[in-house]
Amino acid sequence: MSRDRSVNPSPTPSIALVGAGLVTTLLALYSALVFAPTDRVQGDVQRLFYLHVPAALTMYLAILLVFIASLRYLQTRDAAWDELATVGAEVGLLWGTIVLLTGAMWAKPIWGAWWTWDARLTSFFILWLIFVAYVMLRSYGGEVEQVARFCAVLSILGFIGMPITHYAVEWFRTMHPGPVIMTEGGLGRGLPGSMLATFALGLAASVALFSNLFVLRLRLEQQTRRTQQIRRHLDLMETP
Amino acid sequence: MFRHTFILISKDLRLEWRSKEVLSSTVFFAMIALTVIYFGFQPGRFQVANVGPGILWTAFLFSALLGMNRMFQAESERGGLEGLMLCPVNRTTLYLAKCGTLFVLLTTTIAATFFIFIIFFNVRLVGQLPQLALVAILGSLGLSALGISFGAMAAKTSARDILLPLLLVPIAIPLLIAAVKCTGAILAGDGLTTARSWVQLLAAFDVIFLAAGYLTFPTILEE
Amino acid sequence: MMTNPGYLFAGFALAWGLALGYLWFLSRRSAVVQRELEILEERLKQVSPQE
Repeated sequence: MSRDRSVNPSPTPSIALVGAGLVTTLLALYSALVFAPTDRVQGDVQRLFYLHVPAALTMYLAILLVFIASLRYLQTRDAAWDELATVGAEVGLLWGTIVLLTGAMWAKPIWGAWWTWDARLTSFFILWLIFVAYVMLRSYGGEVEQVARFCAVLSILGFIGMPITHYAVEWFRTMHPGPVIMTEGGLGRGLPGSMLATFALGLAASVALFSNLFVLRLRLEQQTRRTQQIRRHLDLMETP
Repeated sequence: MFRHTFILISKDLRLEWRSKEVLSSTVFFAMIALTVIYFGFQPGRFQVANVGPGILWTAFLFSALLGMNRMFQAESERGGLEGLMLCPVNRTTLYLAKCGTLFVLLTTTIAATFFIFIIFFNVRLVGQLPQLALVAILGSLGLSALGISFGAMAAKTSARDILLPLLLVPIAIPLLIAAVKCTGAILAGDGLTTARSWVQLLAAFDVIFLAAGYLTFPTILEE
Repeated sequence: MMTNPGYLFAGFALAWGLALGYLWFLSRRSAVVQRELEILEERLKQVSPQE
């Protein structure tokens, strides 16, 4: 049972959101590529850090969003919460993909390998897999109300599993020391001000861009559900 | 509640004993998987010591997934789940019963898998069976908890064969890691005391997902 | 001065490509569904005029 909607279900992202998105994005790009100092050890490839880590943090936010929306959906059974979860998972999956790809681009010149199974990467990859599972469940889960319930349960189980996955992977990896690497944690300590500022801009841009895409996708989701709802209604009325 | 659980479990197990459709699939699949692994990798004594536990749990995991699929398929062919929901039984009791049944099937499967494993790969055992049994039990318990939750979901969708592994495996990775570590410690002769944190992790995993599965099962079964 | 420019460029290009590609996909799909929605709303109004 979704709320009644008019022909124009929801507005496009507000001027403020689009503006914020554009401004932060341009500033962040400039900052990352030009303003920030070149890393002494890694060279310019390190600049991917300003894209990669903010995207990862944004995906963690998306995970939180999906979890809370799923809980609220199960409590209220209001489809609006399910819409938020659906959209958050999809855009979050996109962001996660960006994290993995930019990570690989950063890793290859620095570590010599596209991928390593270090603890943070592995944990993140598992979260990405759970997002993939969520999106697939959305596609194949059956009719709307059932899918909403199932996805909500999946996101809760996935969220609950996060701490134990984190520990398991970390213990697993510390027993197999990988190549000596410069982790983001190592970079984070004692970052010069300019790098920190660039990082903050990158984070703002990531969140702003995510929000814009989120609102657009939410609009699409509401439109789609409304058309399905009307179709069902018409089918009911037209069958004798 | 426990009486109902026990009755349901014994009913399911009796049916399984008569048809043996789940166990036959899992045990033969485990044999096939181990055979493929042998021909694929031809591990010598040294490799078996290193990756033996991984081989064992990989073969078992895939057998378990197959078995879960079979179990739910057989259930729906018999019109089972819907019929059971008409009974005056709590949905949560149903969850425990299903977990119990799956647990018995999975422990049997892993015992068989292990037996085939030690034969194929010539693994020598020195009184490690009780510890191995503990790890097998903890591992099967966790997989059962998740398997019933996700299996019930997948069974109601159009893509049940692919959805169950896709849903279950990422979330079960901590269990897999811990089980392999524990088994490795035991087979290496170090014993479970060296792998104590892994055993604790396994136990924690079981508790968490049994509780979560128990609480969410009614939601999954709603009409 | 630019070390490893290829990877840096590829990384940024991929990230932005994905984001902008998704944006483009969303606007296209949204327009299609919006048209569909308007047609359906019309039909609904015709079939149930007292709505």
